[in-house]
Amino acid sequence: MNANSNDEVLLTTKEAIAVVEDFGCARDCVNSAMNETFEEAAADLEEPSMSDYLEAYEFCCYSNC
Amino acid sequence: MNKYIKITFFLLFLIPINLKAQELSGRVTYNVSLNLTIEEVNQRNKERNVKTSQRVKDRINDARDILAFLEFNKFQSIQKLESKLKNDGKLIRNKTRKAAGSEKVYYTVNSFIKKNSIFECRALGECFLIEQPKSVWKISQETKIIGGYLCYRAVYQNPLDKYKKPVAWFAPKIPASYGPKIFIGLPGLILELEDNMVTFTAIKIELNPKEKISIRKPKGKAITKEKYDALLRKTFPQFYKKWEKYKESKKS
Repeated sequence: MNANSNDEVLLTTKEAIAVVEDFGCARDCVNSAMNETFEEAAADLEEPSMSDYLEAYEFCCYSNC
Repeated sequence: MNKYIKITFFLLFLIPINLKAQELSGRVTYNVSLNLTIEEVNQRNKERNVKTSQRVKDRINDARDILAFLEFNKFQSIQKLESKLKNDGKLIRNKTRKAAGSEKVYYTVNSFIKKNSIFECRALGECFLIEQPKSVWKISQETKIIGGYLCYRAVYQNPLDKYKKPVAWFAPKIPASYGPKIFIGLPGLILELEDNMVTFTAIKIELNPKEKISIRKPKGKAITKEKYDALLRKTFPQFYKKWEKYKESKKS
């Protein structure tokens, strides 16, 4: 990598932590949304739907991240 | 010859009158409420030896009624839900909305070829018109009045839910074979529908409104339900693998 690309990629520590935290939160939301979707599908005797999963994920990110 | 001219003249007058009588269009507003109870879920879970989670109970308790809108004319119908509930700018999840179809749009063609499709854009990042199987109904003589219309009871025969068969109440006086979600094909408009989790009840019925009801076919790739389900499984194999694992873990 040259100096210019480093300038573009490297963030300040604070920003980098924020990115990692964001990623961590999004990852948590993947798991929680998936569990929630499966739990509900099982309770409703339905197959889980991708749209429901995406909605649960969107809601999790909106509320927690 | 004179006789033939008279008959032709009579028919020319009669046909437009008859066509006009058939040109029924309208707009129905349904209130949608959750009919699934915690007791029902407890009962189902008991049979599977699973405890109902607090999250599932909360989702049922927090469910709120929403509105659904059905527009129809002689050849088509379209049904959507009111836009997402927002409370003071906060996004709220509502189980009623989910059970009523969320962002999905239900589109029906009722010409020589009868087609009933769900318009979905979210899951695969591209819009699809997912064709649904033809509705099969068993009509009974049981009646009730909804919005001033005499309605007959019909039970949906297609296999959907092991525990509940959807029940429709339709009005033969409104000769439009439409209804909420994928439920169509009865000899009258559906004014109430008890689906497996939600109940649609007509609260406003506008027939032949002043402004013309024009319905645009949603733009999406036509696909059968089976092919669409296969496509989802192919696109998200991990999701479905995890679902199989989840089901297995609940069995043991």
